[in-house]
Amino acid sequence: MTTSLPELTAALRTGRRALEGVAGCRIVRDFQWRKDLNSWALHLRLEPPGLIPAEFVPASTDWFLLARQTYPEGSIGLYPAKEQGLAHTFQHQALNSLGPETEPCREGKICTDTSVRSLGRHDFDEEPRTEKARIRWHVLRAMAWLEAASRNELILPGEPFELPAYPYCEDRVLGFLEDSASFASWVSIPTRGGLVEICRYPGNDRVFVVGQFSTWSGDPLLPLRWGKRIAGCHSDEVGVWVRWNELPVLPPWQPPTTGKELQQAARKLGDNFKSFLDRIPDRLRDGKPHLLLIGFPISLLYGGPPESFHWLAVELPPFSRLGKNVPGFQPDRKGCRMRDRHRFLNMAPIRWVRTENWSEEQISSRGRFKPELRQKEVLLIGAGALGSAVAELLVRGGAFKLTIMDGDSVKAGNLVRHSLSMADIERFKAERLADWLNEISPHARVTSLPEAFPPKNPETIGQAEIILDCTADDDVLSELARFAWPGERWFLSASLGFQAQRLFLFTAKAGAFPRTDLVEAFQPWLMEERERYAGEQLPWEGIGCWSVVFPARVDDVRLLASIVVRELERWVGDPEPASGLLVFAREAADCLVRRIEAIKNA
Amino acid sequence: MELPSYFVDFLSAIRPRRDQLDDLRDGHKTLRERIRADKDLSSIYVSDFLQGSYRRSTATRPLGDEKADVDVIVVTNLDSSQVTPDQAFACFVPFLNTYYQGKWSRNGRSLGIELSKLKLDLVVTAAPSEVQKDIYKAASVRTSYGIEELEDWRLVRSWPDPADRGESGFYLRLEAAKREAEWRMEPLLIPDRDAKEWQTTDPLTQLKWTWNKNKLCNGHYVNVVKAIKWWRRRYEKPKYPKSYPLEHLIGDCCPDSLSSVAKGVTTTLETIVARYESCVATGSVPYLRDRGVERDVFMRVTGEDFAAFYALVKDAAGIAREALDSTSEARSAAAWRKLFGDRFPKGPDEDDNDGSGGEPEKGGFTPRSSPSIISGGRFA
Repeated sequence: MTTSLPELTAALRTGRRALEGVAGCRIVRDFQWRKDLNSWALHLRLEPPGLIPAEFVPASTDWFLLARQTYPEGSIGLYPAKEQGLAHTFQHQALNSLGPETEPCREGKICTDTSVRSLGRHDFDEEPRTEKARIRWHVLRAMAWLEAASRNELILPGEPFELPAYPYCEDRVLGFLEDSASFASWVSIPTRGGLVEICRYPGNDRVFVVGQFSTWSGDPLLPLRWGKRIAGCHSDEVGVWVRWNELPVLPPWQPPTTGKELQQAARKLGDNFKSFLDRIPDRLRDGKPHLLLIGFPISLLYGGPPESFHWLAVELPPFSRLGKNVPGFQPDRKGCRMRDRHRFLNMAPIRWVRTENWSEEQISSRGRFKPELRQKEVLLIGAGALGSAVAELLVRGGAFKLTIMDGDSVKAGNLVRHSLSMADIERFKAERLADWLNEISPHARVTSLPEAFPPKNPETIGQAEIILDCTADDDVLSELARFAWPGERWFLSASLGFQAQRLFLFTAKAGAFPRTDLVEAFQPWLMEERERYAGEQLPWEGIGCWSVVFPARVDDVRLLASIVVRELERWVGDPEPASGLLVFAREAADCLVRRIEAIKNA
Repeated sequence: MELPSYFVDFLSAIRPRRDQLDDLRDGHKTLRERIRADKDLSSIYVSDFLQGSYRRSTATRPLGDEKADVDVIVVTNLDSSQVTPDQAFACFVPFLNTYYQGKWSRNGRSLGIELSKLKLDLVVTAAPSEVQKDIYKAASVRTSYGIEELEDWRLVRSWPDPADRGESGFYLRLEAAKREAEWRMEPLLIPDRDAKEWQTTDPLTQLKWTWNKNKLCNGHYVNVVKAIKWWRRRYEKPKYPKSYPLEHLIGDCCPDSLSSVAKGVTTTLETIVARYESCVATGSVPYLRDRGVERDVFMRVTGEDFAAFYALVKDAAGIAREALDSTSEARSAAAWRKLFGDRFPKGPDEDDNDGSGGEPEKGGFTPRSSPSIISGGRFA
């Protein structure tokens, strides 16, 4: 028995019937199963009653609504039909290429989901997921999309600016760093093209980053602002860059897909792409493909002033080599240039490489700490369980300038609650932690001092504004008090009570570390802990080992580490920061942590 | 409103199910293969083909304990002047006892075979003329495809059975079939109701007529028949007209060139009302001439029955008209449902809160009136 065609479900029928009342929507052909698309395709003709035909938008267009067998669940979308459908790419639409010959629809799915403001929705007006309503909702949105497209209003001023759907090869990404600071630099530089270093990220051959921009003769422009890891990368490729006034796009919102189209787009912007290609220096004629970076100003919001530079990347085929004999072309430079033009400015598809802006602002949209914490340099003393957890939170949250100080090495027994791993055993915690943290963000600038506090060289910690003590070591407290700090500092000493039931946070904003205040505040708590845990036996390090270890599980340490960072953020952002002891206690029953002691002295 | 997609779903709910059709196909194929292979029957066998509502694509779904049924005609070379219908049947008894022991019986003009899931009706004919014998052996006659499944169908020699689509020469034959002139069918002789005498009938003309009509009506005709038959089943009384006579009446009253089933149903019912008003007034029954033979299809219908039937049609025509003319999706669907019962899909309710209520809204904004199903809004 061969696998039979899926049967049209009652849910799809219900969804389709709901289109009866929709003015301007006609069903040309009922749902057909498309095996290669793994979807049911409904052939519709849309003629929105209010639509005034425009240049790329006729009064009547054919569409295919594709839905899954699991409807009302599963993906759903409208695609232009190949016959009598939209042939161009608009905003809020995927690249409208033809796609496989066997399918009746193109690939330019239009964006009917909730985030498209010009269709009159708010961000949270949700797509209905019932059988009756879901298809109808999408068709109504499609008609609204058509109307907006005809009025050129698919994107409205004030909306986030959206790049065209360049057909990136998905095998790699090229990260660049552009923000308002670099934008100001670009504005002041007259150079329109040159060379650029491309660095491969060590250990990940899918990641490249943009290094130093320079002129054709190699004079550097703009300083490099990457974090430690990337700044330390070796550049092994050279690309070329060109600067245009606007992004390359063909109307209505179609990315160029061939060299010829790219040239067309450039010409619209008044740029002479051909003569740009002529300037490629000879040393790039090395038989390898090179990247072409196209830069242009973009605004964050549509219709707004340009605020940042954006780069697109095209992988150029290898440039013609001098001295090679090719029929029809001279082997000299002129001949090479003619060949390159011929080779590139034609109808062959160009390879767009995916680029992303990795400026701090751009890659931290999912959440980061407040600027008051991020912008201060931190000295973290103690890279143990608590310290390493706090360090990771700080770097991920955007506090990139961090110095880690700890003289210990990683032991296997630490791994139960430390952030490092087996590759780091018997190495200095501070160094390994710093290396690891520098891999977390392209902006991390973490340095390490593999020694105990105080540093042999006091200058190494002179710049840090926040001093974070996670050692739980009484000697360190004495040294902190003894150290001659060059100015006022934010001191925070964090330690855990027995079994990490309690978190003690001592804060002080002062020119000298107020050790006596801390000791005084701690006394009652230490006594209480001692009484409470009098009968408890501390665990041993291991069989045959006489040293005792401090019990605390990783989940508790992480929980409390998060509180350390939260409190730190709150405290440094406080216009009137208080100094004193805070105590948090973990409730055994549920995972709550409550503050049981507020700061007594302000 | 015509509500075409509602009718699509209604029809898929009232036509025989795929498994029922599969069973019918298996049943008639097996029977016909056996007949062709049977040594005893080989001396009298000329050909076989299908007739009936199953072949005409006008069959509605059997309900409850009912079984789907298909008619198989076996064309023999028995001389009608020498052999009585009874004797013709007798030829088949050994065959039936071999393959369908205990499952067959005499049903007036046919031999009925009742299997677990379906019924087969075997009709035995007397010999047609020599020329006609050839015709009855052609693919055009013997094809198992129903009317609805045949894009083009011509009663000509070269017409190829769609089942042979993969074979070489298929498309050449198809092209040739377009150019040939169609046969003139002569009536076949089948036993009368009591199997006493031979009676003329013309199943192929009936079939072709149906196919032609369906083509004129853009494929909607057979659906109009099914829909009205479905409506008819809701009323036990009067007993007649029903089945083929009803279908014939629909065929006579259905306009050519339809744009929708909805329109077809309404106009057909109204035409019946208009055309036979005077008949009913005088208590008589119309004479409906069969296709291809001089026979009154309405022979068994009494004046009383027809009057009762007419009254039902009149009511139904009113409801259909209301449904067709209504501009509200909800009211229209409700009226169609009143006519056809609950296999016709439900329309939108007044208190629908997911936006698919009658009038189309501007831009499709969905006002929330009561808790809708919350989806999305969860992050990981």
